[in-house]
Amino acid sequence: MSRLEIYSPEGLRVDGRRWNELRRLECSINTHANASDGSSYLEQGNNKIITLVNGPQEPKLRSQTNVTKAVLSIAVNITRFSKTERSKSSHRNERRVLEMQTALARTFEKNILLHLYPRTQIDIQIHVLQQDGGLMGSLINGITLALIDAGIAIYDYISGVSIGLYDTTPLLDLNTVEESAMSSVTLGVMGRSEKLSLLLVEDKLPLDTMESVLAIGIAGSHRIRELMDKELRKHGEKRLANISSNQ
Amino acid sequence: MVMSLTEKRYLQESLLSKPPVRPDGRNAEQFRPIEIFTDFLPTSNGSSKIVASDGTECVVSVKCKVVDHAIEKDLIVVDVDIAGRRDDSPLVQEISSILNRVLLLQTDQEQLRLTKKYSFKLYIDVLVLSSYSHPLTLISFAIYSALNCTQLPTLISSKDDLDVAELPTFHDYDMTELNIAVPIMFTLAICGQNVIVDPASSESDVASNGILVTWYNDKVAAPVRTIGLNEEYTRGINPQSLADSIQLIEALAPKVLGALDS
Amino acid sequence: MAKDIEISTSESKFLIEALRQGLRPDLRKFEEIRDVGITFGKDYGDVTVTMGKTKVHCRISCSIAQPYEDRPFEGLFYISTETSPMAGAQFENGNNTGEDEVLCSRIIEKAVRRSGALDVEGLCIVAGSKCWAVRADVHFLDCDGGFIDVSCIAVMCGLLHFRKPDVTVSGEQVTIHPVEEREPVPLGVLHIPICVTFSFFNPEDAEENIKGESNNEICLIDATLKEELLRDGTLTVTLNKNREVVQVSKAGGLPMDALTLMDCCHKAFKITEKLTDKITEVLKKDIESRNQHSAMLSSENARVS
Repeated sequence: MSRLEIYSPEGLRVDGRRWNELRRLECSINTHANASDGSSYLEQGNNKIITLVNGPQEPKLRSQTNVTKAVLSIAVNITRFSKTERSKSSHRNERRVLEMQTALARTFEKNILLHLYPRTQIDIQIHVLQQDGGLMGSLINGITLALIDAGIAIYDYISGVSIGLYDTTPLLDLNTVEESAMSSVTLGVMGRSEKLSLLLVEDKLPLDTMESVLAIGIAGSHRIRELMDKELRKHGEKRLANISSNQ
Repeated sequence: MVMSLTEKRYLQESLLSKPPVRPDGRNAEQFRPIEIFTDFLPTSNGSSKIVASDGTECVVSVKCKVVDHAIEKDLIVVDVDIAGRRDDSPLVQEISSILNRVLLLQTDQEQLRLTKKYSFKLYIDVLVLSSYSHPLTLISFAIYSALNCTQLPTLISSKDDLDVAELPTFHDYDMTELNIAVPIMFTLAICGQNVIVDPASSESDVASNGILVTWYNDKVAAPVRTIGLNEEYTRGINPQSLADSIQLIEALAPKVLGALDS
Repeated sequence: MAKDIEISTSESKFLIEALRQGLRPDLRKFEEIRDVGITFGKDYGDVTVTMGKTKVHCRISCSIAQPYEDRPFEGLFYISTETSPMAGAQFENGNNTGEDEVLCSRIIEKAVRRSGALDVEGLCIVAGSKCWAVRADVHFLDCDGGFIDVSCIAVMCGLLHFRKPDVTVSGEQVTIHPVEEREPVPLGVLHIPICVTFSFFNPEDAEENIKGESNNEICLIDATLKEELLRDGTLTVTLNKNREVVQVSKAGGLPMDALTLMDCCHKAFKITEKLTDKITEVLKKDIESRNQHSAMLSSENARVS
C-alpha cells in the first residue's frame, strides 16, 4: 500500500480539510421520544451515535440509592458493525470500554446538579452505530445533548473534540486514518470557559507543543458548542411554534 | 408499564370479547404504524432502522466477508443484541436461535456463492435499542428491509478459480444488489378464541399464548410455533387458533410485504 | 469495591480547612512528593517500591512463546495488576473491574506498554515462531494513595533490573543458556516513563468552579489515601526525561483551567527528572553490589593481571 499523505504541503488533509477545520457536525435531539426521557442523535463526520437518557428514576436496586444525590450510570455499547471491518468481540466488558464509561461518568458527575435529584438514578445508554475517530469527544457531545433534552439540570455544555499533532502542525478533529497515524489529545471543555473537565493524551507528544494543541482544541470545542447550541435553539423554537399553533 | 390486577382483568375481558376490543382501537388484523429507514450506514453493505409507534426501535446492519465455503458452511450469521439484556438471557438466546435457524434453513445460500471456492458470508447484526413488546416481528421486518437493500461488491475475476491460488478480485466501486428471498415472521397473540396481530406490550401481558408464523416465498413456512409472551396467563392453545393464525397471516402477509417493498 | 472506606465528617472538614490554609497533615508542601524507596530482591526483576506508606511489589518473568501472527517480529509483553484485600479493605479479592482498578491498570498499560518503553522487537528470537513473552506482575501490598505513580516506578525498575537468559540461534535450532552457564542479558528499555498524579480540591462551591473567574482550586501532588478519598478530581501525567508527554489522563472530575493543567505538566517534568535520576542511581548501586559479589567468587586476583 502506498503511504497516505496525511497532510499535504499545500495544507490539505486526507479528507480535504484544512488543519483547523472541524468535520461536519449534525445533531438532533428528542429523536427517541417514546423510548427514553431524553435522546440525541449525533453525526460528527462519520461517527454516528445514539444517546438515550432515562431518569431521574427510581433505582432498580435499593442498595444503589444515594440519599444525598442522584446516581449516574453510563453504558457505552460499541456495536460490532461500527467499523469497516466487523469486529469479532462484542466490546462489552472490555477494559477500554470500561475506562471510557468511567471517564464519562466522572466528567458528567461534576456537570449535572446531582444533588437536586436525591434517591434517584440517571441512566445513560450510548449506542455507537458507526465510528470514525475522535469517538470520546463525540460521546461527550452526544451525552450533553441528550441530558439537555431530558431536562436534567446541568451547569453548562461540555463539548469534546480530538486534536492530533502531525510533525509540528496541530490538526483539529481527527478521523480514523489520521488518528492511527499520529498521537492525539481528547478534550472535554466546559461551556465557553477554558476549563477542561476531560483531558486524555494517549501517545507520545512533546511537552512544549502541548500548549498550542490545547489552544486549538479549546477553540474547536467552543465551535462545537456553538453548533450544538444553534441546533438546540432551533429545536426549541420549533417546539414552541407547535405549542402555540395547537392552542 | 406495570398494570394492576384489575386493569389486567379488564383488558383480558375486552380482548376475549367477539370481536376483540383492543386498547388502542385497532382491529384484530391491524398493525401499528411503523417507520423504516434503509441504507444509512455507509460502512455496512446493507442497513435498516425500524421504529414502531410505541418506541420499540431496532437497527440492523448487514456486512459481508469473503470466505472459503469448504471451511465455513454457514453463510449467514445473525447476532442479536437487546439493550439492557445480557447476551445469555433467555429472550436474546431464543430470538437469536430462531433467526439463525430460519435464515439458514430457508434462504437460498446458492445466491451467496461467488466462485467455485469462495462465497460471501453475511453477518447480520441486530441491535434492539428499546423494546416494549416482543421484538421478533420488528426484527424480522428490519432484516427483510436490510437484506433487500444490501449491495455486494461486483466480482471481476473468473468464476472458475479451482486452480487459481488468488482471492477473488472485485470492481473498485460497482456493486451488485443481493437478490435473495428473505423470510419474515409474525408474532400473534391468542386471547381465548381470538387471534390478534402485532400485540402491544399491554396485550402481550394478558395474552393466553403467542404464535410465531413464518412467511416465505408466498406461503406459510416453518417454523410455526408457540412463543411465550408472558408468564402469568399462558395456557395451552386450541388447534383451531393455530389454523386461524395461519389463515390470518395468509391474508395479511402479501399486504405487509407490499408495504415493505414500496 | 468491597466496601467503600469512609472518612468522618469532622476529619474531612479539618483536612479541607487545612488545605485551604496551605497545610497538609504530613507537613509536606503541595508540590512535594513522598520519599521513594526502591529495594531489589535477590533475583533479577524482583523489586519493591515504597512511597510513604504505599508499598508495591513487582516481579518480572519471561518465557518462550509464539508471537502474534500479525506481528511476527515482536515479542509479547503483559502487565497484570492485582489488587487484593491485603492492600486495604476497599479492595475485593479477584475483582478487577472496579472503576479505580480499571483506571489504574489502563494508565500503567498506556504509560509503559503502549508508549513502547520496552523494546518488544528485541524480544524476537525466530521471526514468526518464537519470541520472549515478558510478564510484569504488580502486586499492591499496602495502600496509602498514589498507586499509579508507585506501580509505574515499580514496573520500570523491574524491567531495567531484569535479565533474561541468553539464547543462540542456528537455523531453527534455539539454545537457551541457563543463567549459570552464561551471563543473562538485560532487556532493551527505550525510555523511562514516570507517572505523577495531581489531586484537585475545590474549596468553594461548584458554581464558582464552573462559572467563576477566581480559579481558586487547590492542586496537590502525590495525595495520601485520605486526600484521595476527599479529592474532587485527579490528573495523571506521564512524562519521560526527553520532555515527551507519554500519557495524560484527566478522566472527568473537577473542571480545571487549561493553563493550570499545563503548569501541572511542567511541575511533573521536574519530578520526572528527579525520579529518573534516582532510579538510575539505585540501579547502578545494585549492579555494583552484585559485581562485587562475583569478584569475590572469581579466581581472578590482583597478581594475575
